[in-house]
Parts: sequence; C-alpha cells; structure tokens
Amino acid sequence: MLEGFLNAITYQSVAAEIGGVIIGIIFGAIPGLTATLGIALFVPVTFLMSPEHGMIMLGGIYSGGIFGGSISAILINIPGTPASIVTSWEGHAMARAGKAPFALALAAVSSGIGGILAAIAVLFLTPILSSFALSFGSPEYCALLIFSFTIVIVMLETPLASNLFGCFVGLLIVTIGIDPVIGTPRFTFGVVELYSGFNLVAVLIGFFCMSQAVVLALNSLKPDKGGEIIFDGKRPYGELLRVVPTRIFTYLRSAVTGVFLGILPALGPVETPFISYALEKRFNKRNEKFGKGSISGLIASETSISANVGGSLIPLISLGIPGSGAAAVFIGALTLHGLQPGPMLFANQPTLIYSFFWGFLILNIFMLFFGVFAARYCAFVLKIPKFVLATFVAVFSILGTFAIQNNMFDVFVMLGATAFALWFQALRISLLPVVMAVILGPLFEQQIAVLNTSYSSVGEVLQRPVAVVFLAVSVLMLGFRLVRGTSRRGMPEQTEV
Amino acid sequence: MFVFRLVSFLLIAAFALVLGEQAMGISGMASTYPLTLVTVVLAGTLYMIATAVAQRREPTVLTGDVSHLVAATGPERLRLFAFVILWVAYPWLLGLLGFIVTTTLAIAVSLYMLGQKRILLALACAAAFSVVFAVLFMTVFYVPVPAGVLDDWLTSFIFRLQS
Amino acid sequence: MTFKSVAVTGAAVLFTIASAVGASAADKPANYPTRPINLVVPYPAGGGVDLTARTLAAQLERTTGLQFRVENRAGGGSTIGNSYVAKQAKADGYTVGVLANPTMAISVVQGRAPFVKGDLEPLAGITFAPAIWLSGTKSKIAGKSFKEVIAYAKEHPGELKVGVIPNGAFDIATRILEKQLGVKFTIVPFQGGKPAAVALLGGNVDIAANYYDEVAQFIDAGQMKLLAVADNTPLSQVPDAPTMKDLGVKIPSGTWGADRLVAVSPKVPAEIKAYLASIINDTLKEEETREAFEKVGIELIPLTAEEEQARYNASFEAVSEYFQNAAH
Repeated sequence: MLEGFLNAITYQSVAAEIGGVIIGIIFGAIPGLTATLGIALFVPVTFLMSPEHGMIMLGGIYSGGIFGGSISAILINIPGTPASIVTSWEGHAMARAGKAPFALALAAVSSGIGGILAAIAVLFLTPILSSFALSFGSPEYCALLIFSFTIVIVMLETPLASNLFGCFVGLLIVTIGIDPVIGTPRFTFGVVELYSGFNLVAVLIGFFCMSQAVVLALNSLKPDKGGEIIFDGKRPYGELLRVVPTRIFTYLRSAVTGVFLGILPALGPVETPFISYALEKRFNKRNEKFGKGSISGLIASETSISANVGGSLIPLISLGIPGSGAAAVFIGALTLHGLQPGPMLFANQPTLIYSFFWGFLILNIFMLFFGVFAARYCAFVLKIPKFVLATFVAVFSILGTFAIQNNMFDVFVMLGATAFALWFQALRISLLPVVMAVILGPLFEQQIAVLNTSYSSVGEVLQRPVAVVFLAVSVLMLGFRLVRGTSRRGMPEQTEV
Repeated sequence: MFVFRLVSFLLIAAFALVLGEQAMGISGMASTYPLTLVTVVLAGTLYMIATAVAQRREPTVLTGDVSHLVAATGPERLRLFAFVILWVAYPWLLGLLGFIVTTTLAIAVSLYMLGQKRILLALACAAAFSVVFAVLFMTVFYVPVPAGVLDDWLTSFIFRLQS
Repeated sequence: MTFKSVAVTGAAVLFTIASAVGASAADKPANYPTRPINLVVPYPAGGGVDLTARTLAAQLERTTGLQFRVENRAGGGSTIGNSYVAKQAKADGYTVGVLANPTMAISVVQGRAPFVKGDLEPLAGITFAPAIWLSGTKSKIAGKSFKEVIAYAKEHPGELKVGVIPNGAFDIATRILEKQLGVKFTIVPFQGGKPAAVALLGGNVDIAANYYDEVAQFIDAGQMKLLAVADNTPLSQVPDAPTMKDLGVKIPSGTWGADRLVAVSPKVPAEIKAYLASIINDTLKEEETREAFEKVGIELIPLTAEEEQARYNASFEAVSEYFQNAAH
C-alpha cells in the first residue's frame, strides 16, 4: 500500500492527475459532452502511457468531468453531465442569488470530500464491501428501487397523484426495447434502432440540455428580467469555512449513500444524487428551503456523486463488474493494458491497484483545491453572450448525443425528449418522477424478472431482511405523505423542476 | 388550456392502449409487467382527465421555462421557432451535405438569427469551429460524423500528411 | 512499451518480413487505402468484441503500417452495427466489420435484422469461445461434477437455477441440454454475462453460463467451478473439462458460443477484399499477434476466409434448425 502511495506522487502521476482532472472539467462543463464520452474518447490516448498513469488519468477525467458538469449546472442551469442534474437546482438558485463563487467552491469542496471519503473506503474496506455487494440479490434490488421511486415521489411538493402518474408513464415508455424475460424486442414498431430501447443519456441530454438551449435562445432575443447573474465580488473562503464544518452529518449521510449505491453494480452516478438529495430533504433537521439554493441540498448532491464514483471502483476492480457506462469503458481500458479486473488482479498486481486508488484520492484533493481557488474564474462563461451560448449548447447537445453510439437516431430521440420535457412542464407534471422511472425502469423490470423466476413464493422473499426494511420504509413514507397531503390540501402548488 | 390538457392525456392513454394491445400478443409471464403498467397508466389518465375537468374553470398558471416560451410574441416567437426548426433540420442535413458544410451553415444562421448582425463574422467563427472539430473527430476522437465531399477530401489530405 | 513504438518498430520488422513473404500475399490494390480503414464494432466500447477489434487494429497497424480505427456503432442489440456493415456503409473497403455470431444469426433468423445472410462476406475468423457452465461455491451443488449435477437435477426437477441471457447462446445451449438429458432447470434471465456471474458469486443462482475468458479469474480463484463446455472440442485452457461429445449430447460444433469474425459487404471490389483477407489472415497467423490477444485474455483461433465462411453458414443453419424445432 505504501509503495502504491509513493507511485501515486511521482511527477508523472501528478501530471496524470492534474491533466486528467483539467481535461475532465473541460469535457464535463460543455453541455452535451458527458464524462463517459470523455473517458471513451481518451482511452486510445492512454495506450501511450503506462497502465497506472493511464488509469489515474482516466479516473481524473471521470471525476473532473462530473465536477465540470456542476460548473455549467450552477452558472447556466444546464447540467454538463447527467450526474449534475440535481446540482443545477440548488446551485443555480444560489448563483441567481449572487453567490455563484460560493456555490462553485462548495460544489468542489463537497465533491472533493465525497471522493476522499470514498477513496478511504476503497483503500481499506474493499474486501468487505465487495462481499456485501454480492449479497445483494434480486429481492434487495427490487426493494431498493421501489424505495428510490417512493422517496422521489414523496419528496416533491407537486400533487402525489401526478407524481405517481409521471413515474408510471416513464416506466411504460422504457418498456420499449428488449423484453428482459424472452430476450426479444417488443413495442418497437419495426424500428431497428429501438430494439435496445431509448438511449438513456440521449434522453437526459434532451430533457436538461437541449431544452435549455431553447430557453437561452429566447433569453437572447428577449432579456429575462432579473435573470442576469451578478457576482458580489466577495471571495467565498470565509463562508466556506463557516458552513462546511456544520454540515458533517450531511457529508457523512451523502457519502455513505454514494458509496453504498456505488458498490452495487447497477446504480451509477446519474441516479445517486436524486436518492441522496431526497434522503437529505427527508431527514435534514435544518428546515432549509430546498429548491431555493439550499446548502445541504447542494452538498448532498455533490458529495454523493463523487462518493458513488469512488465506491463503484470496488466492484470494478475486485470483481471486474462495471456499475455504469463509464465503468464499462474503464474495464475495457484496463483489459487493453493487459490487466483484467477481477479477483486475481488484486492478488497479482496489488501495487498497481493501490497506486490507482491513492492516485484517485490525490486527484480528488487537487479537484477540491481547483474548485476553491480557480473555479471562480469559470465565471467568464457568464460573459459569453446568450445567443452564442444557445447556439453552442444546441451544437454540442447534438454532436455529443451522436457520439454516444455514433448513431443519428439517438439525436432524434434527444430532440423528442426535449419536446417531451416541455410538454410535461406545460401539463404541470413534474419531470423528476419520469426521469427516475426512465433511468431505473429497465433495471427494475430486469430484477422483477429475475425475482419472478427464481423465487416461488412471497414468503421466501420476506426472509431477506434488507429487502423487507426497504419496502417497509417505502410504505411508511408513502403513508406519511398521504396523511400530510390530505391535511394540507389547498396549499398553493409549486412546481419545482 | 383545458383542451390542451385533455388532448395530452388522451394521447398518453392512446399510447398506453397501443402498447397494451401489443403486450397481449406476448406469451406467458413476460406480458404481466407491461400489462400492469398499461392498466395503471390508463387509470392514471382517467384520474388526470377527471382532475382537468374539475379544474377547467380555474386559470392555469404556468411556471418555469414553459411560461417564458409561451409568453414570447411577434418577431421573438418567429425567431425562436426558426431556431428550433434549424436545429431539428441540422441532423437531417448532416446526412446530405456532410459535417463541415452543414455545421458551418447551421451555426452561422443560428448566430445571425439570435443576435450577431455581422454575418461574415458569424460565418468565419462557424467555419473555424467546424473545421477544428472535423479535424479533432478525424484524428483524436474518431467520431464518424456523416461525411460530405469536403470531409472526405480533408480525411484524405490528413492521411497524406501523416504518411 | 507503447503501441506507437511497437507500431514503429513493428513496421520496420514487417517491411523485411513482407518483402520475404510478399509472393504469398495478395497484391495491394492501386490507390487503396487513401485514408484510415474503419473496423466497425456493433457493441459499445469496453466489451469483448470491442477488445477483439482494438487488439486486431493495433496488430494490423503493426504489420501493415496502415491506419486502422475502431468505430463503435452500438444500439439495437448489435443489429445497428451489423446492418451498417452489411448495407448502409459504402462498399469501398473502408468499412470492415468485427462481428459476433450466433447473436447476429439469431437476429437474422428471427427476422429482426434488415439484411440477410448473404449481405455479409466473412474475411477471417478471429476466435471462437464456446459457452461454458459454471457452478458457484455457495450453491448446494458446489464441488459436484457435471454428471453429479445432472443426477441431482433429475431428482429435483426445477430446483437448480441457471442464469443465462435470454434468446442468446447461453440460453439456447442450456435448453438443448435440458431437452437431450431430460432434466428441468429453472432458467433465470439476466441482461448480460456479468450480472449472471454476480448472481452466481452471491449464491442467487446455482449455475451460470458464460465464456471462459470472462470468468477465468474466478475459476482460478476457486470462486467458480467449470462444469462443462457447450461444444465438441475441449477448451485448450482446461482440456479435461467435459465436452458435449464426452457426455453424449448432440450439439452442432462451433455454434453456441462467441464466434468473432471479420466480414465486409460482398459488394466491396474483389481485389480489395482479397487484399484485406490476406493482410488480416497473415497478421492473425503471427506469434506476436497471438501473444497480444493472449495479453487481453482472448485465445486466438484464426480461420481463413473459406473456413470462416463454412462456420458462418453452419451457424446460420444451426440457428434456423433450432428455432424450427423450438416452434414445434
């Protein structure tokens, strides 16, 4: 382990760490170009490097990309990567209140802390956590997914019925594609491109990036009153020092949530912040105004994302099992370097793995400092005229979507998703339950199929305590919301997202 | 607004019905999950329609981005409309004209329409962007964007430089 | 050592080799290639076929000094990429598919692909990995041999859970096994080999089907036991694992597994096809290529264009025969 640490602080490693983070931030900050795409495009470049430096650089691109997504989320309300959707709600609200430098610095610090906590978990707890990941069977997955849907549905202030409706419409839409039981396509109307369903990233780019390009275009034609973001010129250090120590429990909660979801091979950085944010909103005792620039909300989102990225390294390295599209590319890159992730890699190449883990920890520290001291300069983005932003957000949304699978059909899916997002907003149905359903729906049905074939009775499922706890909590939350919802009927509705 | 909501929910119901009809054709256990969803969504649309009918006299307050978009009038609305059409047409045109030409034109037109009045400047910026990205896609990132005559020529040119 | 430096030294070495064996290779067509040649992979980056293509591209660059690029055209469960190579792409020799059977054959036979068998012409076979069955250490059949497992399954019909990918080679091989040996498993559908392997490690299924390359580490670490091979030739890595021939199960050879092949549209000009086939086959025969594939965990089993054409045809026949029988 010590040797790994020494490897991670050589000048080549440090160059890989800094270089990776900076490339990642640039990639992530451009709406439409995702962190996953960044990794995929840079895999060939790492062949020119030694395995550990290549891995560290890819790790840096990934972490930096996810933080970079938060920069555009905060400054222009466009999540640069799908992981920063949640960050955009709180972060952009803070920026509108004139606190953009603080929001950027807080996002960086939270992201860094989440990554560091996760790296510590990865360094010391990998064997325990990977065996825990294996114990998660289909009953646990189904229960966890029901819990995730429920917590998002009850978190929103919009009417419960419309939240549920949105969730089920989303679930129905993603049944288009492969049938997980028979293995043949269904509901595709003969369209070959639909055989594996809608591409999730394309849908999310449509929901959150392209729709904002349209809004930006309008703002450039007709300046939005009060929509200009002005900096107060204050440096954020004092407020950071004051705020961060008081939110220890938020950090711990979010980091644990992030690592926990990260070690499960099926849940990646896109879905994690939703769950972490909803949990924070449910259990935060501070009575903060969520959705209006809440500090805890931003921390919960950012910390959980980078904790998730760190946590996903555990099944990735120790079992060779990817937790997300980015992780799958990672495994391919490792294999091309002649290192097949799996139990033997740990046994045969411990130094290399520990170099990578330490490198991951160090690059998170770099990211933290970059965010605190340099992210303010990203404010130049706000100086770019709106018409330029609108044009290039549109270009990058389209080209970024195309590059996911080199497929023009995905671009039309993305444009369709843009229309869908605006349509649902006009119907005053919150898009969030739809998003959750679209992200998690396929996994949910797959796990139900596995559950259905491998368990013959409900009694067998009830013997799995973890599953029972998740289900019970979901039922309780829904019950509370029903009771509270009826007692508060007549309150003004507010559409949050 | 009431009509809009009604038509929307009817569309969703129709979508559910079409999937439901197809799901009937799936044999055995595999049809249970989609059929359950279809049923719930149909019940949901009924409920949503009922709510819409009950609220039809109340004024609807739109919030968020949509309210801005709907509030656009006159030349703004026209330009916004053109912006949307332009970028929907862009992926189609890519296949016909190739990356460099289409991207240059689309960016230049978009910039001009939204505010940049100096068309030559807009064209120059757009062309520079397109060529830089075309070269990046060809040499570093290997993104196979649709190629036209100009793109093919550039590819061969770069290849000749390299070898 | 980097790929670039390998490519440079390799190109120099090749130059001498090429001039020595030049007589056997097909002649380089005039004015081809004038730009990089694309190896199209119908799967996303990071998977087995992608790895195969990237390794092949690096080796081809080493032996020919030309530029080869891997282009992932994923989506539609490989149908998009397959039909791109077969139909949409210009048949100019710059689009070469690195494809996988029987997945492609299944989609064509089931009428889900917008092209037919004759729209692709194999140039070479890269590897064939048969499906294998594995048992986990947490299962009640842990440590048992394949025959003992079958005996157990006969006594307890439906009790053993087998994790497969529905409508794929693992699924079909398992169903052939059930039919011929008269046993009944509970077949659990997973969306990929990895999730099924996780379920096996976690004790949520008793048996999982997979490819040897993908799970070799777990077998070496003692976390999975190799039960049997769904083919008639023994695995070179584990020659004593029972094959279907050993067990008296009738199964077509070289079908139910992963056949990774190089193919182009038959409309590509003949001299370009011949040239591509010769450079690919020459490269695959080299010892250095074999080592490069071994490094990424792929056992190279090269086939010439004619041999691969035979396996390609056999695969399509076996798949249509299976589905005809399954329909009755």
